[in-house]
Amino acid sequence: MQTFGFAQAAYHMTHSAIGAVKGPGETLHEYTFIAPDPERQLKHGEFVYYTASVEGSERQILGRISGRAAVKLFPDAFMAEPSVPPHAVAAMLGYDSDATELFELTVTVLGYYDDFLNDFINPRTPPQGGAPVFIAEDELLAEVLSRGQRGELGSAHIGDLLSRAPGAVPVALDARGFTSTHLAIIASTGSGKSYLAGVLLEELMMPYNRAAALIIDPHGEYDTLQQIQNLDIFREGDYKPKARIFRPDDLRVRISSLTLGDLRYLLPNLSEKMHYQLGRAYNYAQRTWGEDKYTLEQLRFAVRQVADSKRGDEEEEEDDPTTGGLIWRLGSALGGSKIFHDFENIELDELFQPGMCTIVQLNEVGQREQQVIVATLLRRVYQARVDTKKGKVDRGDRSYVPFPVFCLLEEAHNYAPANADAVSSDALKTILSEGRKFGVSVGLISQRPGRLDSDVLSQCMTQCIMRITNPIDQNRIAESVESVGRDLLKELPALSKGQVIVSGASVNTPVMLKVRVRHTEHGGEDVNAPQEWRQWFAEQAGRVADNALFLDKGVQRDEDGMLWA
Amino acid sequence: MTMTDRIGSIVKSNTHIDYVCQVFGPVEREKQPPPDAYAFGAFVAIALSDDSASHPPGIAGSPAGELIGIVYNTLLVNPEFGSQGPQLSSRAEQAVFTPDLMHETATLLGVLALGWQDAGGPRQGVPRLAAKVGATVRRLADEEVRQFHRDARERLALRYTAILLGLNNPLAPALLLDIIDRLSGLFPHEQTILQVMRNNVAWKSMIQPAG
Repeated sequence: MQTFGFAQAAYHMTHSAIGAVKGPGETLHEYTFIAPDPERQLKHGEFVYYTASVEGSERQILGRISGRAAVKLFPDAFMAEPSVPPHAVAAMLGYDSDATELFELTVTVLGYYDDFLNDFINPRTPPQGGAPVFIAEDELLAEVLSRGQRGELGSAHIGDLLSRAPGAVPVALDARGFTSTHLAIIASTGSGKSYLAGVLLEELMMPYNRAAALIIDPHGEYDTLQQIQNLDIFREGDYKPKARIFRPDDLRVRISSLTLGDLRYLLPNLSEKMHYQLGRAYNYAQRTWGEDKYTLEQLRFAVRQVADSKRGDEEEEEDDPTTGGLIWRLGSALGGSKIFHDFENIELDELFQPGMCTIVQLNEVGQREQQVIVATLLRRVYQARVDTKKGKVDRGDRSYVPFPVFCLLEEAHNYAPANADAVSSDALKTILSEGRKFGVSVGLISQRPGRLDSDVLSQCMTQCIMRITNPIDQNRIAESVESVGRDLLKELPALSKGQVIVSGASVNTPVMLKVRVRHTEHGGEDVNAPQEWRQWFAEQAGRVADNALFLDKGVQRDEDGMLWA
Repeated sequence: MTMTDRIGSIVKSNTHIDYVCQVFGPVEREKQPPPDAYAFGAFVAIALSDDSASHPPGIAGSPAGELIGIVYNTLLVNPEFGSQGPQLSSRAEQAVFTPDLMHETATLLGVLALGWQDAGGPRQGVPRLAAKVGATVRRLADEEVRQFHRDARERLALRYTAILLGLNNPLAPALLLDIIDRLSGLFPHEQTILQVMRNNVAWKSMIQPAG
């Protein structure tokens, strides 16, 4: 066996070995190898392997390059004159060889890929000194890095391996992973997080996934996803995905669906006494008219009914500052809002359907209202799934949701902020911890992980991390995301737009990817201010020309530029 | 090759590449070689042919070729030194009555072989063949020095630098600087790369020891 191994190794050596093992690395799962690397293939994060005999069969033990140090370089003095390349000086001294540099590369061992377990197994067999190290072939990586192959049921092809040529190693996430144990997309502004979210949603709406997805879109930048309805690539047989947009004007939240917590959160500056009275009024309303069956007017009535001063005549009660203040606050927070409504509510079957992507646009909606909308929405869908799973509701019931759902939240730090109370935090945390059992999963998108509740972030088992330069945010990621190695986190500030580190439950090992091109257009483009300023002048010039026509017809202009016939 | 180009002959060697050349005195040649022909840093050729008389040294006449070396040291030999005693005759008389004694003063040169030239042209490196005692040493012409410093691909070559600096001789860096300065004149187009080399050597030999 051993002889065969060496024979095979010798064969590989002559063909594609790129280095030779030096010895063990600093930690138990590292080794180092020496390579001249004239073609600069051995980048940080690149995959290499050595062969070892495991339980009688030859295995390729894959590892990722996590360090690169030079062991032989030209003397600094040879580079004193920029116009004279150091190898010219070396050639003059008689060193003609191209082998001028030598590197020591540290490799973190992943192990060999076990088809049965669908995971990497570290055989704990260290490589022999001098053993050849090979660069992993594209085909091998395409097979072992993704849980599912591109286009298969439950796959989400979001991009290609960054260290290889575009398209050489497509990597597909396991949609089963992030649609059960949640997802986080963390990236600073302008690094392409909305683009990546768009790619993910496209994949979820593909014929091989047909998801029931919803996206909370506070900036109104996902409406281009509507194009999925018209593109052939999303169709298969009878299947054609739907995209539904709820604009702020279309949003309705029935007042009676708000919890006491929601009400307290919406009403500003409540005194202790008001809190108490609101609680009593809420209970009164629920008792009197039934859960989920009262209007704002009835709630106001309830406030009056439970007032402490309600003993004698009607006039006295209006003078009570607590009752008056509470009624005034209810009116100002709920009465003037188009969203909070006495009777109308968006039904769950309007929001969630397999093969439908629902975009809930929350631009022009105040932040507290946004939080309440998200909280009620998440609470309702979670409760509906729990009830459906437990058989408490049947087909025909309003809260019957017989399929798993996936909700993507843009600007997630607004809905689960660190060091601050938001009404949506609790609903989100419930789903993050319990949602897996009932098929409710969330994807959180944030540009400020430092402002995101750390419990929330650590519960997302699939992480897509893009460029992050802020050190506070980097530390938060390091604290909360244990699946990404320290060596990969060092790459964070160096990532370019559209490059992402994916780790966690949906991939076999953390990988650096280049996000694929979207099939639909991207809606999150920045405003081109200089272009628009110029355009304004062009339009202005047109207007002056039009006005000149008026002048010819005897129209006069006064000092202020006003036109007079 | 004129007679003045001949400097002297090999009298012994210290190593395979380190030879001692005795400069022709009045007995060997009527006309003495000019001092700048064997100055410090002068390039010389040592004939490799067995019979330097029948085959004049040089590429054309000598199939074995020549070693190419550099004068890295000069030593004056004077047997009289230290034997000052009572003298019966004056120095002028001595020259008449015992001329042989006078000729025992000699100038010896340390010559380091840096390469060789044969029918295949000049080559830098440690030569395979060694010179013999009595081999003629001649001065190398400027054009020959230029040729010696061109490699097969017509690039400037200084492949003997390592040998020179490895001599463990305090004069070696100065010798190398002297060579580089001379080559700068011979290779005007390659002055930049020579300057890089010169600065490197100068820094290591002048600044670092003092720092």
